Amino acid sequence: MDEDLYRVLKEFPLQRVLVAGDLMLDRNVHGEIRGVCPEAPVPALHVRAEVCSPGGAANVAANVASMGGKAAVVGVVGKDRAAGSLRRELDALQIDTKGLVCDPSRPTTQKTKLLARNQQLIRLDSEVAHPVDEDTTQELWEQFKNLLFDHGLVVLSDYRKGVLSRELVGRILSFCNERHTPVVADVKPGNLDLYKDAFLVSLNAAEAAEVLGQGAGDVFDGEYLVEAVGRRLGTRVLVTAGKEGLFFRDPQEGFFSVKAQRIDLVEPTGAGDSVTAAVALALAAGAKCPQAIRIGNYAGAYAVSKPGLAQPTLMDLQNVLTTQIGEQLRENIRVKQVVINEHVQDIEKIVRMIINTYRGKRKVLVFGNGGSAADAMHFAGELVGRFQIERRGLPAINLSADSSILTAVGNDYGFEAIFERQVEALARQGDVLIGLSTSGNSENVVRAMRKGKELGVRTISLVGKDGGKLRKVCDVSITVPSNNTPRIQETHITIIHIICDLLDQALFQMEGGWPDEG
Amino acid sequence: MKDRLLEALTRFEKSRVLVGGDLMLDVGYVGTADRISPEAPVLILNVLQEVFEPGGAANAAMNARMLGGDVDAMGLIGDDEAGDQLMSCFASAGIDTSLIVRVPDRPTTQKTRAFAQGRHLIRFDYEETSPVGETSVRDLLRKFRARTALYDAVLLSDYGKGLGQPLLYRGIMECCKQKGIPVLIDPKAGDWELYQGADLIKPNDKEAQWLCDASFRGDPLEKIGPVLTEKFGASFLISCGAEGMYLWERDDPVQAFHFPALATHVEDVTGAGDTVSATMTLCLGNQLNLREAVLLASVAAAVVVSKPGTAKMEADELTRYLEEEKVPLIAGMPLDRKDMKRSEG
Repeated sequence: MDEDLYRVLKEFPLQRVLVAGDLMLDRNVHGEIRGVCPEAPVPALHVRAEVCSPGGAANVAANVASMGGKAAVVGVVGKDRAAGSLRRELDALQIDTKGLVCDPSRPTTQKTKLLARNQQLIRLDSEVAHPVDEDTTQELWEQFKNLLFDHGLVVLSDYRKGVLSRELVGRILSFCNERHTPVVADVKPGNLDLYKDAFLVSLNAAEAAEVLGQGAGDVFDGEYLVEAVGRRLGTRVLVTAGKEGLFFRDPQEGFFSVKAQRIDLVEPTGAGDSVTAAVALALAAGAKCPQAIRIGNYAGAYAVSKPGLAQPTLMDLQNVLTTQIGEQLRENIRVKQVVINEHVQDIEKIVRMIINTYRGKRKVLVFGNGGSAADAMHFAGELVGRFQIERRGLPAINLSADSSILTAVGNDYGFEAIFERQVEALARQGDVLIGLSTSGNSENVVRAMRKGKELGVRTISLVGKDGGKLRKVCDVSITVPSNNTPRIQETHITIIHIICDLLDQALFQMEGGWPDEG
Repeated sequence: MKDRLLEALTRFEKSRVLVGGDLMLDVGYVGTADRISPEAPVLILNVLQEVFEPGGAANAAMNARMLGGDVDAMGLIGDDEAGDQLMSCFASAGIDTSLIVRVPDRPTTQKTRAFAQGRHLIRFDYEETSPVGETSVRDLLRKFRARTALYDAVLLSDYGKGLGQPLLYRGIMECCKQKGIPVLIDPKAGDWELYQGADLIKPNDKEAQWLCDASFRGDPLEKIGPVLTEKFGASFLISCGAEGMYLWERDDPVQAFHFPALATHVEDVTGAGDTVSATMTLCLGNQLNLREAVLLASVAAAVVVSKPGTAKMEADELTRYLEEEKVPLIAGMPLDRKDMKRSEG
């Protein structure tokens, strides 16, 4: 799967995305507080630097450009200093600004943040939100049509500042749908219904809750939100829910969600724009929706991990993928650290039991289901074959591999009996049974253990989660402290290898380890 | 007295003054704040209007212009949007900008205030206060010398933003002395040598403390006034907010005159100091004596603080005020030393 994501990312530089909507300028004014104003009891900030960056729809375009795609914008600016700054910023990112339409009667939407030592003090918003006039709308439409022909996907970024009127959205959607150009719409609650015909509609969880009339006190349920909004719109809906992750619903293919990356949150500003841009680029690159959303998740994770508006580059996205890999490895290590702290003596106990079994010229029977069946096979292989040193083979039988027995017993006595029957057939007093089950509740393993008890054999289990029933029915049981099946299995195989190594040492590298033949 | 003042006001129109120093632009973001940012626990000011006003020395220049005088503004501004704004304010007020030099390496000094529902929330300042380069200073001085003869009076308004340099101030004062042109200084706490040779220096009480030698700091104004007057060889007008103003004349440094504040209604004191300086400049350029000038400046201050913001007023408003004679027009009350209260600064 991740291989697929890398492949999609590689296609990003070939994609062309047209972004239309509410363009903004984000101006960060950094300074230091130099005491109180002489004329009023308010702080006076001495300005050190001003940093302008594209905001709103322009930030979506900036994200597209940052991730390697080509972006063009269509939107309205005023005739003011902010317009000049925005144009300069977009030019610097090589974003096509031919589609900027100037309306001197409106200010360029601008958000100015005053910051002292990176601490925000206040935000000043210059904007009007009333709809743009007819002439401007007509000009926007002309620009959009002209630009569409060499763009593979359209993003409509609607912050309800008046650019995306009902009329313009309607024209854009029917024009794009005729040409099979997908439209991804990032919307606000009030305008939601304009976007029924978009390929995908994205909104954040708070906005989705608002659409559904939920209050602040309602418990978050991402699946419910996306289902309800999705049903209302009848098209694909993506709900971005911050640390809860992304929730997606396709009217045909149903629900899909990804958990948020575990990344230190610095500032959430603009994360939604990064998600939208990444999803758009991925879709343009031919990804299926779930893939696109996973990539969007990585882009959002990057954006929140940086102060201010941060646009991930392609390489940053790949690094977030790597971060996820590292996170899994670290989890593996954490689990094993607990095993070191809590289960070393249990492992020694298991080894002593097996040594006694072998010294008594008895054998090991090992079994489990699925991945645990493979681990059982692996274990028996190490014992009968060899592990790290040259030695004689050790008697061990894996009960999970004989398809004839498994199907016969399963067919005639039920799946629960497949190990029990083999234990009955093969186990002799003094043998040892080793059952593997991540939940500890696999019924066929439990029944085999009960049968073993009847026959007077020793019983060992490697389990996970809360240990389940097996923990209670076995002589020795190691419960791997994790609820995550892959981490449990990885720990099982590590314990198995340790057992093999200790057996080798005890039986073949110490004087008198292996009993004399005869 | 009243007639002399009224007659002087009519002559403002025919006079020409230079107002130089630290030019600034005051920007106001005026709007409403009824939301908290979703991203950080801070107010969002929804800006409905951006207001641009000349500030600092530029405000004094605007005041002088509003009072009817022909005004040349002198100073440095940056090659930026704030500079353009300031130039266009001057142009629409009819202020001569021949003595303004634009420099690419400094920003125009700009004070930006944000107001929500009429309340001041925060101020942020763009400025560079290091001393300006010598080339720019020489450039200004050369231009000034070529035009000195035009002026009836000169006001140098020092806000400590880098233009207050001995080379410039001394050069200007020498020129003016030769031609008998009065020089007024609105000082910033700083290098006292800078202001030597002026005719009138107008600090507020706090600034007056800083202009003294350290051994006098903290002493009452009654003591400081004479000390300053002798030290600088200039008349001193010290403003004390609601208490009014105190004057020491160069020729009789021992005698102080008190001018009580005339304002009955105070809306906003911002820029009142610039109004006083501008009025004094025009008065001294029109042969009023110092005490008459201070009386008229008190009237101007009373009118201007009754208006919101960095307000200005026209000569007509002063005329009306004088004609209505709302308060007795007394050109300063001579103070016994023991009457004088310690200023609280």
